[in-house]
Amino acid sequence: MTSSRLSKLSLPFVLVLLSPAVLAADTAHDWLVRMNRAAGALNYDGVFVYQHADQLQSMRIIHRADIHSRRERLVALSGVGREVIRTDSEVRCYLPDENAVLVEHRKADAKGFPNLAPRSPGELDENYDIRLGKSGRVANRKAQSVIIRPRDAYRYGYHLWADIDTGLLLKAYLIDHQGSILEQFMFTQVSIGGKIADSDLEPLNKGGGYVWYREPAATDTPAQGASGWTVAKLPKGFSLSTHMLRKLANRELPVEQMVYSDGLAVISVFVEQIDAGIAGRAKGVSGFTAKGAVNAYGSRVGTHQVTVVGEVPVMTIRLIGGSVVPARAASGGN
Amino acid sequence: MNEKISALLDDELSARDRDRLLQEVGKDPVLRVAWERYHLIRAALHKDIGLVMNSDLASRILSRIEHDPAPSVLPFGRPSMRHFTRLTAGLAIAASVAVVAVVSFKATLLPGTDPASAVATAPVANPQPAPQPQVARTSPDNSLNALLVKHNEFSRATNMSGMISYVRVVSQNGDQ
Repeated sequence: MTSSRLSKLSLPFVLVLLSPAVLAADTAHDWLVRMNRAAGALNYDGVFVYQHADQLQSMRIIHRADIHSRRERLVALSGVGREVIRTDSEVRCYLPDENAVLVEHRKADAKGFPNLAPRSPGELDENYDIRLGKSGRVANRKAQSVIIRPRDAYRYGYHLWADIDTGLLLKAYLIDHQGSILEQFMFTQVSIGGKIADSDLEPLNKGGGYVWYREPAATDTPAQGASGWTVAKLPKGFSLSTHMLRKLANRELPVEQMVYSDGLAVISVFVEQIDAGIAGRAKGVSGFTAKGAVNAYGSRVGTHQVTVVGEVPVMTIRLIGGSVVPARAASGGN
Repeated sequence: MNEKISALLDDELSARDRDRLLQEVGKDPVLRVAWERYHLIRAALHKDIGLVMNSDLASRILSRIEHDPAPSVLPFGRPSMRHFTRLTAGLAIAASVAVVAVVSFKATLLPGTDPASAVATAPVANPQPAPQPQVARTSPDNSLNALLVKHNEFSRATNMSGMISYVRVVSQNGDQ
């Protein structure tokens, strides 16, 4: 494998591939790399169930990848029929119940914006116990399981099942520190590697009569330190991965986004100035809230709204959300 | 089948049975209604009802009780204090739950709260609530969705390159 091919993968676990320990055998880390690559690189069309608390949804996912581009469509088969169409450059959320289409540009993969820093197996192992589980069957395919246990209560664990033939993630549990399943996802049927027609990747309702919320193109910029905010108290293992100013479709002012990661869990801290003119409409999150297994915490710091979002326990969100300060204050410059 | 749903909520199914059941519930709208109902009953017994009520669900339950004298999806079976969802007085419980539900739904709406958004992200009590700080289950409008989309770009192998993150966006409010 040449370095140029490696760079094209632009995956967080690329460094893991280079590790001699991984090359030696199919380790659990090896399977994580395969899963990460398979989800983006394969064609697949399947139906899965997603369960969180009382929510149980069946959804269809159709994913097409070729040398030049990737396109993915996610359709809720129950309820109001929300859809998400994701391409390399944008994400469109069709929300019939809100009569809205939300269009966001994807910047994380684009030139000039760094991916999350890759972590070595050693770094992951500091925060998680990662090992192979048993093999089994999911959606009538042979699957290998990988068990990821957190080493403290600041992060969740995972139990993953990957298709043995292709590496595609077929089933996943998100597990809290006590071992309870918080959220699960499982393919009930899936076809992998087939041809995907263009029509299968078009939304059922193209958004006629909807209100379109579209962000201005190409307005994100890497944040410069001078205007920055920072998090004073981070749980062990988390570090700043990227920091940028972003434009959102339904916001007038740019939002500063700081992304923290421990190699698996990802937390975003958003800081935005509260604009009096749109204060009513842009009313942000206040206190704790949750969406699926994602926890969020919102608060006001002076004239700014701070929102912390992540697939991590509430205590982690609380610790971070309570310690977001202007960078100057943190460095003692005040 | 209903016995199995109940067992699932009590976390008594094997992994294999759990998968099979979720698959069936995912495919079958009738089973999904039963699923909602079990959660509602459990939530009522846990006195979380103010958090979870969904007027549509309550009216569906009332209507079902009126028109379906045979409580085919109500919990019967082994009486056990531990098995909240298996009370033998299923019909009576469900009826009172529905009424409590309707009442408390109205009572818990604060002035200025949009009913749709108040229930939008209100998951019923977790089958196995983890000991953690109380989380306010109110929807902060779709501004959180926009932030979630920005957050989702940075995803990991555990998440099918962010696919599951988008499931959360799609599945919100899905049963209404």
